[in-house]
Amino acid sequence: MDSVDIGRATEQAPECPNGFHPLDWDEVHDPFPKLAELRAQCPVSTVRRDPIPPMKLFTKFADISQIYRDWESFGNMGIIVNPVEHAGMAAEQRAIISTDPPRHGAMRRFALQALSPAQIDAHMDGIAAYAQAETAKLPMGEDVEMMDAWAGPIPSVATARALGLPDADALSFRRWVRMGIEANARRMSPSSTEFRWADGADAYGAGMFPESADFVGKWVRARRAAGNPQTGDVLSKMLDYVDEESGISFTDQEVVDQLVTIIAAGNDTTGGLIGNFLYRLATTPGLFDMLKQDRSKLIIAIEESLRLDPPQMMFPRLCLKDANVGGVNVKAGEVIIMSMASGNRDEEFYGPDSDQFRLDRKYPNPRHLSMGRGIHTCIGAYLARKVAKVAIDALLERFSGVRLADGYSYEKVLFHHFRAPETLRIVLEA
Amino acid sequence: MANQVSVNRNLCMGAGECVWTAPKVFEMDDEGKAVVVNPDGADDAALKMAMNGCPNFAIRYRAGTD
Repeated sequence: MDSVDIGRATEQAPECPNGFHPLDWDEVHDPFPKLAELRAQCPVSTVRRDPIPPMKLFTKFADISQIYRDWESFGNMGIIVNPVEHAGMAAEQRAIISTDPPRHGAMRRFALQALSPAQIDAHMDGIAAYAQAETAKLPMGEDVEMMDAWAGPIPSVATARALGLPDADALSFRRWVRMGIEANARRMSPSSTEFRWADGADAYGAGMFPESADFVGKWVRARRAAGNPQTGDVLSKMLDYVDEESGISFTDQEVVDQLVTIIAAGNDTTGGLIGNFLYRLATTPGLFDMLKQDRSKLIIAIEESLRLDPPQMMFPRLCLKDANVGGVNVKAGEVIIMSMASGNRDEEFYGPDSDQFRLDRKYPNPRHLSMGRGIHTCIGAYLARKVAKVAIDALLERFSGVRLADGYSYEKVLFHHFRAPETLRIVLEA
Repeated sequence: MANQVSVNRNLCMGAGECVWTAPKVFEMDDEGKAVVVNPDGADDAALKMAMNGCPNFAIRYRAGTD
């Protein structure tokens, strides 16, 4: 990558005709109408907001699938988007979402020590019981803010349990992660008065979550000071992990950074999924009753929610070599944006009613782009889906209906990458 | 001898990438995990791509001998 002109001007994609920009809060609060225009008129466009370098925006399902799957041409760069910041990071400082093979594989196998489906399955009875207990605490017939009371804490606790952390710490992590993400949102969006397009390495990865890193760091040092006894728990295995395939092992600091990445990724995104689903339940006539009567439809309903309301609406990629996507040439060094929020509603893939919430879709495989594709498919997707299912199942079991509280209107979280309600005030019916 | 293809269910997360790459070899089952239905349903290149494209390293493949 050293010889590549980072952030050079894009070529051969028309200027974005409707002014959409994926980092602009005003644009992404409800991005769907403008993204539909782009799919119809200009599926690959060049988006601009000085001083952010021009980027190509991809809106079609097929193009985004191709980019996700071709990891040799399109490198991971996390959520930061800024190629100069990315280039300023040493490989050992980068989170898994900013890392390419072969190191990516070692990091992924490390994280699977905690997040493999078999590991998650072993926790699910306990997580389901926790979700049921939290659901039983919710008041009936009252205005309740569900993101803080319910949708946020359940996945936070689930993530903590996957790592072997106490439940009590999970709620601190949730608060710290939200602070870190919001600070980053204010720094990265041109809509913000605090906008700052860094020209060197800046707060990034684990550095975005100093409180969590501090906490996990103390915890890791205490284990290490005790000689890391192999008690069979996940942390003791992770601390001494050596990747057999690559020979790569991780320093204690790298272990801390990776644990913080898992904690950060496991908190707000799954909370967003559950919050988005709850909003659908409260605003889609008949949906609650149908799912209460036939829980077997819940899995497909969660997928339809993920499709229409992706908790992570986009990801950037750094082009590592010249390539052609959707008839457009992209050059090594360019930053491109995959809009999953758009690809998930691509009429060419889903049909003319692609923006409708339907449980009878004959889904092609995979169902949507919200969990990524190829080797970069979200490693927490299995946990996220299971947690969302047990939480919503508990709600359907306990209550007879759900509606929006008087005066409530949807307000998206600040962070431009995310789609989730900032708050969600609803009334649960007995 | 036929190809040897297997899916480790402890690792399979149901991403569906193998079904996308080699639809005659893999299918999704009722639990949302991939199963092998015909180990000889794709050529060597596609089977290698399916193995190397699995996000959770769940697929093992060894080519059969003619």
